Amino acid sequence: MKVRELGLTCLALFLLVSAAVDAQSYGARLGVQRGGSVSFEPTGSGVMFGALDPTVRRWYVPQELVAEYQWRQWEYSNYARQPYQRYVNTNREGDYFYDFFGDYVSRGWLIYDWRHDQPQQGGSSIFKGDNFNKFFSNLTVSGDSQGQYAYAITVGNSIRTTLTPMTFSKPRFNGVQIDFAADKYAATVIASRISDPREGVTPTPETRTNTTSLIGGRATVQVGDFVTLGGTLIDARNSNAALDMFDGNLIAGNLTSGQSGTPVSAIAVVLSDDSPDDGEGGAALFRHDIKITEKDFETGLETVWRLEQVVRPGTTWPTVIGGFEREGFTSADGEEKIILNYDFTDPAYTGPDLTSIIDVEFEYLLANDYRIQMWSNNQSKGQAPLTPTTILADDIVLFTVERAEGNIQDISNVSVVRFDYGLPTANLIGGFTLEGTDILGFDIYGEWDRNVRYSQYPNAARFATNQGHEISSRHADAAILTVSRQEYPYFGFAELYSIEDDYSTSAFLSNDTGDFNYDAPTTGLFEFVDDNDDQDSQSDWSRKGDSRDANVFPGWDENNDFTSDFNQNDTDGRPNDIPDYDEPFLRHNVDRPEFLFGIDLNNNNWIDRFEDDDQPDYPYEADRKGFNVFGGFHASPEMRVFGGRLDEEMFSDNRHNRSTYGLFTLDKDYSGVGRLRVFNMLRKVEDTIPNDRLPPTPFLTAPLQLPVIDFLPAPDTWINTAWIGLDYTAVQNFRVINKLKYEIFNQSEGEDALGARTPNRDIEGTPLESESNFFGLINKVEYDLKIGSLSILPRFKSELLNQGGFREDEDDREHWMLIETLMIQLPLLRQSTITTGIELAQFYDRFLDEGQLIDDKLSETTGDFNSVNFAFQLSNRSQYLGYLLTTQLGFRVGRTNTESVEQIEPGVFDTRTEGRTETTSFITIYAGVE
Amino acid sequence: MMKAALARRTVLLAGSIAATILCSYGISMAEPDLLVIAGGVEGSNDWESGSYRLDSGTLVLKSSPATISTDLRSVDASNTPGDVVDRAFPERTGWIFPSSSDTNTSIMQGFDTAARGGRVVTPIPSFRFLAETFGNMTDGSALTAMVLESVDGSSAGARGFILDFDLGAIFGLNRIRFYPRPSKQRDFIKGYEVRLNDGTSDMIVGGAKIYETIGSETDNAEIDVDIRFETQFVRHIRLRSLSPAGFEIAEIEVYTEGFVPKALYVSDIFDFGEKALLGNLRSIGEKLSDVERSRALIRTRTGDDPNPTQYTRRGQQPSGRVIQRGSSFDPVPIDALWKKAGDVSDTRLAALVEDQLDNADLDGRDVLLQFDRLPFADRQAIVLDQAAYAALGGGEKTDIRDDLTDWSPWSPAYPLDSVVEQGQLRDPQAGVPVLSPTPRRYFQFKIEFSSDIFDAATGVGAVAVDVISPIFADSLIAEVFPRQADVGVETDFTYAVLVKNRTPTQRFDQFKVQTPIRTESVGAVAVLDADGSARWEADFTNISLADQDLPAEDTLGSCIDDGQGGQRCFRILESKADGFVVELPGEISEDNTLLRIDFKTSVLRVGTRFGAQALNTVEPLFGQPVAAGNAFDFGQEDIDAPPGSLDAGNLFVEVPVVKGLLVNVRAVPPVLTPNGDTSNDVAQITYDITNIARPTDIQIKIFDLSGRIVRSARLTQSSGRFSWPWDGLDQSNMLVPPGNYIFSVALNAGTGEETGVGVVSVAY
Repeated sequence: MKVRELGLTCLALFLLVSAAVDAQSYGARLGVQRGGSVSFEPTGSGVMFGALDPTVRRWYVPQELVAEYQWRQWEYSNYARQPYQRYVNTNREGDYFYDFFGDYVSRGWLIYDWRHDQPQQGGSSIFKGDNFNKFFSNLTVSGDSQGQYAYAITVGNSIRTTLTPMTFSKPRFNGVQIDFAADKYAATVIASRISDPREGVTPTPETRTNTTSLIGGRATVQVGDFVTLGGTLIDARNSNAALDMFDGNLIAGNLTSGQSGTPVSAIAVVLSDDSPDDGEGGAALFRHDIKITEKDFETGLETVWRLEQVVRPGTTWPTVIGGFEREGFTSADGEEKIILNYDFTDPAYTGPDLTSIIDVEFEYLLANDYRIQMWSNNQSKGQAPLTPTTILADDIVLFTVERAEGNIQDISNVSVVRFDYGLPTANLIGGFTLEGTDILGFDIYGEWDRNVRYSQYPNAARFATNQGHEISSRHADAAILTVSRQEYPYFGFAELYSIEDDYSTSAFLSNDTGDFNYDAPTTGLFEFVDDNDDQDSQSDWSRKGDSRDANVFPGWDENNDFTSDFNQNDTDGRPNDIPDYDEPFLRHNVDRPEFLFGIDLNNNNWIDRFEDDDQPDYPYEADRKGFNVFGGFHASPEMRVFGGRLDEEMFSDNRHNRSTYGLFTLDKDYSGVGRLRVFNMLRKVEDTIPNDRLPPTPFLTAPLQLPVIDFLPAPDTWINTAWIGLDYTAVQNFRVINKLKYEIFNQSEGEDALGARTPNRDIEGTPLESESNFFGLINKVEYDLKIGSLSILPRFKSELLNQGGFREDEDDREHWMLIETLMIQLPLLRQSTITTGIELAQFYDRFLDEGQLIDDKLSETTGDFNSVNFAFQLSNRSQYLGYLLTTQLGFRVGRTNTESVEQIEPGVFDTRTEGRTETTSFITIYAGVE
Repeated sequence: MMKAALARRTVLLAGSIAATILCSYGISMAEPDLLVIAGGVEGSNDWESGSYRLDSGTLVLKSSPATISTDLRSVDASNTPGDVVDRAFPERTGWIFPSSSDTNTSIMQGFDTAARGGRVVTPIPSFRFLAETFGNMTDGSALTAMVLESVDGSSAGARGFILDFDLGAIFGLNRIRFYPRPSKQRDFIKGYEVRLNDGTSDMIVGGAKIYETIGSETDNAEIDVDIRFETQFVRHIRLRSLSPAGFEIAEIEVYTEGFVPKALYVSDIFDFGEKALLGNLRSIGEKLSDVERSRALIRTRTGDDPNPTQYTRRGQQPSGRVIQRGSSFDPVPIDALWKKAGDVSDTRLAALVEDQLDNADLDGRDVLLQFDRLPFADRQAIVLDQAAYAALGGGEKTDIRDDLTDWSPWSPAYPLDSVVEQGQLRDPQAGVPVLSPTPRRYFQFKIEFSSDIFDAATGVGAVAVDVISPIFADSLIAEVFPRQADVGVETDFTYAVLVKNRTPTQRFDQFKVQTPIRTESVGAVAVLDADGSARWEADFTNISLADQDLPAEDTLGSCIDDGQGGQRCFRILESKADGFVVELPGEISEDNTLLRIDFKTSVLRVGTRFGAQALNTVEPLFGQPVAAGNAFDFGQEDIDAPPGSLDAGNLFVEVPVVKGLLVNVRAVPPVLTPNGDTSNDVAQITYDITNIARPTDIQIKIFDLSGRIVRSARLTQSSGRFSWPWDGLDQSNMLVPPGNYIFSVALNAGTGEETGVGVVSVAY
């Protein structure tokens, strides 16, 4: 009842607000004259004074076009002196429109209309006229302001909308956003028919009966001068427009036709190990019971049946498959599953007829690290009850109901777990925020959110009325708090976070028949919070209405041109899949990403700010709780010293990440001499939480990349990362650039009872090397010699890389590359330049030993090569039709000699060099605007 | 006589041990009761059907081919589905290992046989006309080819042509080679891309496989394309043409390294001829390379009929289920388990099928129930079998699935304890008890091989199971009462066992009741005949079992002549922390005999099951487990079910789910007087651990009143009743001063630490 009252109140408020903002602007040209006064309201036809002549001759009332051209029905049309004027299409000026109250609105075009009528088949309709796209590029903004008050109504296909990072954040929100702001208050309402918001033009209104809609909002109020309090509420719910709106539940939504049209004839509960990798301590089932609620729809009488009342004597029901008997319980460890198959059509079942069942609740006595999933024939249309064969099939749809906290394996967490069967009908998120600025010197941001997922038991008999479907819900909480303070030279920062593993910002989407594909995220899910690690205008994953961003390289696009800075010459028009650090001439300037320095607090051997994943962009990963705190001081304006501690755990598993770290940074410019940068981070890490990531997209047209598995390189490890950069620029036109990176992973290993070394192991159990190093050194020398207008640019680069494998079966990586380049630039005439250059490169793979290959009689490339590249280019820059045309023509000739060991004659192996010549000739024109 | 007929046989189900082992066990093999089923032991093992030896004795062993359902419409009748098990591993005669690679032989020859399950397709519809020539690429002949308008490099619209190869299993690949016929060398592929997928679910997103490109050449000049790469697990290969020019492929060769990561061996179905009791299972295994990166998991199942696979056809009656198709709702018929009447030879049963089981006017659930309740022989005569299923029309066939009515599901994998040294293969005490239900007549096992890395593999040399026959009773239905108790509170229980037995040769004379902690005492014990009259009775009420392991005997109760001039009476043979054994005055073999035992104990854990086993003096190592059911009417609180019916809950005693994991923490006696007079010289710190199912750390500390620890101990225990003696000495073995001391018992559970405290006084 409370929910319904809340809904009615909201609706009333909405109508009041709508009426209040109904500012009409009547046109001046039109109107209907009635007895000397002009009315713009549709009042129906009236009595015309001029028509009150008692004649037999019929009176043809002049309509608008007739009045426009002074044409009378009986007149002879002669265009000798007055040429005929063609009709003017009234659509050029649009149609007449009246509002909800019958008030005249405007003459023009209907460009957008979204309305929802209930009860009515196809009651949800969205119209996006051609002009919405043509005139307004799928975005309209209406608004008003007076004094401190302002509001705006934004309707669009791609609105950047964020309420809070934990609740709603999308780069492309297709819907309506209404914003209000005053000096101390702000509020936003968002709404969308997320199941089918329509991307393009709809020639006629697109009507739907079964929909999933979203409505939500956020309001903030400033309290005092420093504190802002906020509240957020978002609800995505299913609805069926054919039913009375208030017969269902405004928050928990309604079951769609597809969800409740078919009786549930079988439900399966699947118990499994929530941490299958360890192979033990999975779900422990002590006993199970069921509570079936039956309703007599004629008398309204409800009867509850327990398990022992619905099983035919001498038979067994439900069928229990899998698991094995332990001491008093059935266990599912590792990949084992226990399937309890409640087939209501089984002869052993003697309970109520499945059409009269209105609720099914399960009561299990469970322990250890369990995961509960459910299936029914209404989830996977047409499938028979589960069997061991079908449960292992890929296309089975299982809802995860509950997971045990942690990874308890000694049954000490034994407890009764109750859960209902239901199909999802709504996903609600509500929460509060607290933002404080300079409160006793501290800046604070805190947010707490609760996610409630509603489901309802589908009873086909109740579908027609939509009344009384049993609603159940499960919730999960998320909370974050950050506190920081700067008191020069000291600074401090602390963050606490807790996001439960089942906190979900995803909603299932209905199709028009009310069916769901629960197992197809790309078409069946709407995300409140998108994955957009590179923070561009396109989400990184593929969801309905959103295509996957094929170019994701967070942090590698510092010039914001949507191209990786490591493959800058890759464009859609001229794809290039060779990284710049491997490409002739460019490789002098561009260094490999391994030489970067950054923070890697999740210890997956990848700098955090360059990480791409396929998770929603919460500030912290879900299924984590913990804190991170650090403090430090500025030893000088250019030098900082940090010390900190990270302690993080998973909710769903007994995994943790505990790091104690220190960080030193120095970035100093020595005027007239150069720049010195020194960074060093020392960490003691115990990290057993895997953080898989996606690799950066290597080039624009790259297909979906294989995920990079975090093999947990630091289970109990000392890590030190040092980076030194020294740029020497004291001599004009002469530069020396040096970069040194040295990283070491030192495993804290133990000993067994016999004193033998017990190596740390990775996530798959492979022993880790006691010590793994990365050593990288880059030295570059550049000189720009000017002789008149001639520029001569000799350049030299040395790249030395030595990387040891983390795992005992992993190869090392070691190479030395020398690159010598000479470029000459000669200006020609006024707007032309001739550039020519030659590059010599030698690459020595220092890991593969050709001598060893020869001894082992192995035919294999040694990894060594050398190359020479010569290029010539004429470049012209001309103004043409307002554009700056850059025309380039030229050619490049390159020869690469690759060394390999091959069999020269039977039984005799030796090195052999094979050359390959590549040529490129081109004429290219760029049209620039700057 | 009958005792002598009881015999244990070690059934070496499959596998081989080396000749040296044969010699070592030559004596054992000569024993007449030993039944060995393994060609390997005989020196000719191939792990195939019929490779076993029949011994003399009453037990007759048969074997029939394995059939397992591979999907919902087909079965595999081979021992090695996927055909990636190596039965001729070098230097391991008679062992089986996952297939290892011959690095010089392509795996593509025969990859598309039914056994391997591989196939090649093109997803491009316009090229499917080439499908009939796809086999030319893997037939081992360079003279036949898949030809795509091979006209000397002219354009054939071949750009984008894709060939998808499913290898049928995952292999460690490191080389792919393809080339045209020798006579058509100009028609080599001019541009190609080769991509790989390992076939795991992680590498399939939204139904689309994620491929890794390992070779790509837009301007290929090599006639013989030979791509070598670092070994990786691969199941799917995608070859795409990047050139519009026509081409042909005479052969595609794929070379592998190491062992296949997954392989399966499924044994034949063993028929013991009659119900047999299964004892321990043992196996011999060997791991190559990193021992943690490969495994061979053994699972078993047992059954009452010869076919563990259930074939179904579309029945005549609605099942109650409906399928929504658009706006219509179509009823789903039942899955009929029986043949059509025309396929049944027995006229009576054929009529039964026609008139009843396939009578469309009857209710579908009633029909299924009727089938289930048919006599076993009738059911077997009409059950739909593989041949009858194969003869059905496509529209009549429904699912093939595991028979979970007459067969158990596959057991969980056997623990490492089941792997024994070769010398222990015939030791009945080695190994672990069979996890599948017993006694049963039919038995099957399978071995799942898996490796994480290419060079690691686990092989199996033999699998052995002890088989005891005849069994002790057709079935033993048991229940315990009451089935509710309070945690840690001593409670009076009665155990009732109803003997169901049609064969008087099956009998037992001992009975073991498993209890969660040591039984405080046993009360009345009685054996009642079918008419309810007492055959033998005894009463142990006044004999405490709490503090002794020694057997107690009630000579006052019923005793019978032992045939050797003495008497045999009820006797408590054994009383330990896990239960007690009662010896009966005589053997029980009569049908509907009831055994009742009263005893007193405490229940500490939810889900405490009071299991029991019937034992026989002749076969002391293995007992026949009881089945939970309704054995006796204990009155109103006992659920009224037909006697002899099964109910898994009848052996469980429920206790309230309490938060405390430590209860009954106390010192007994509360005051100790360590003066050496043997009276109260030691105080027992006792405690009950409730819901803990695996050994966990227990720390006991004794503090003086200033908070100083005077004595401590660290133990590892799980649920049960425990006591730790304190003799009044401190850590340095000095007698503590008289006074009060506080003790704490701390338990470190998965949910956190829990502590119980108490006071103990020292006086002297």
